[in-house]
Amino acid sequence: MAPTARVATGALPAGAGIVGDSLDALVERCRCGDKDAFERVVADTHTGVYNLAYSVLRNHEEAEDVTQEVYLRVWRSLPSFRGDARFATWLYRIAVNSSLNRRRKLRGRMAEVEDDGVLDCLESPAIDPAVAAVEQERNRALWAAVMRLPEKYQVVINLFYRQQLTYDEMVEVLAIPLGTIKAQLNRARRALAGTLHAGQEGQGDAV
Amino acid sequence: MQCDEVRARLTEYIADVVSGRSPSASREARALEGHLERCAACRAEAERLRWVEEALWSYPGVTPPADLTASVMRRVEAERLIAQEEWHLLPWDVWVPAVAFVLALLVAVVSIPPDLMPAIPGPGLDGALASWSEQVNAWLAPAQGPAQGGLVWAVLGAILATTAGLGLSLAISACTADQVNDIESRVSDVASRLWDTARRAH
Repeated sequence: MAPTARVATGALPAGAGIVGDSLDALVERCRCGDKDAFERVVADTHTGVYNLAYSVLRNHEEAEDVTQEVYLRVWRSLPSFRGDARFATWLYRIAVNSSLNRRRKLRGRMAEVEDDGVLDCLESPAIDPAVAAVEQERNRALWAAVMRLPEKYQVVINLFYRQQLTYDEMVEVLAIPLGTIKAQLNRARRALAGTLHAGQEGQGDAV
Repeated sequence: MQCDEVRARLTEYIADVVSGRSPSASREARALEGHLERCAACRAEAERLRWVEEALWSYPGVTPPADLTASVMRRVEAERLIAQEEWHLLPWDVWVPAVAFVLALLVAVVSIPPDLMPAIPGPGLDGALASWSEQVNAWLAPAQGPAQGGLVWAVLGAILATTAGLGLSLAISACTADQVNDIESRVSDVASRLWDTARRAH
């Protein structure tokens, strides 16, 4: 289902479930060494970080390990976090860099790491079973098509649609120009349309 | 507007329409819509892109492990304990040059000849330093020539301080970027805790 309007600046990670102000307040408490506040920040934001890591690494164990590393780095660096950037933007920048670094390290054995068990772990929509089945099928096809995209396209797709970052925030996270981000998104959309269309035609031919 | 022009703009146009940022007021958009009404091939492409765009807005995510927060916190706690222990047991290539530097600095300060002491500002400090300096110079007198006074030891102290400082710099430069970041974050962590404790005490 498409949103009627783009989430405005200040969009939080999907699943965050907290408003920006309270996240800022929690982060401020974390900076003073408050572990309980940090635990809440982790609980409220880890789904986005995990998904981002998974979209790059495609392996649950690696994604979990990278997510832990991301929060360790955040915990270590929080005292020096000055709040020039929004916390979520800073968090995703660390997550993207850590995931890409891990992927580079694993490059030689990515074939072993590939994990196709993801289709059983996709978040299931809690709606009418008939609609859910159709959506599930669409999600499976979409996920499979996204997984075939180059990793840089997967990252922009994830940040834009899943984490719902604005263009400005994506520029901050990825440290690449706005024009490049838009071009990558458009190429990814066209590639997905081509792949999914070819898949549908293939299914039609088979029938 | 020709097909290739339409195809070049179609992706962004559909993305805008689906996300509610409809650009239908612009002349370019009206030309594009006019072309879509006439051209079946571009209309089909627009439909495919619309399907993808709508599907992407419900982009499925994976569910993280249920105990991920707990395992993150266990790692943070373990890291915190290790950091506390390692702060007391810094690697030798950090604390040896650091201690040498501090000792050399002390030697250099107390070796300043007493007649130069009044130049040092600060109430009471000059007297104390002059007194330490006199004692150290008296203690070191047998090893010094009659004319040099404390100057020899001041120069020696300065050389030692420079060497130790150089050693410290080399030790830090031999660390990887992660190790340096690690040391930096520990120092920041300790400083912020001290500051917090002082603020609370105040």
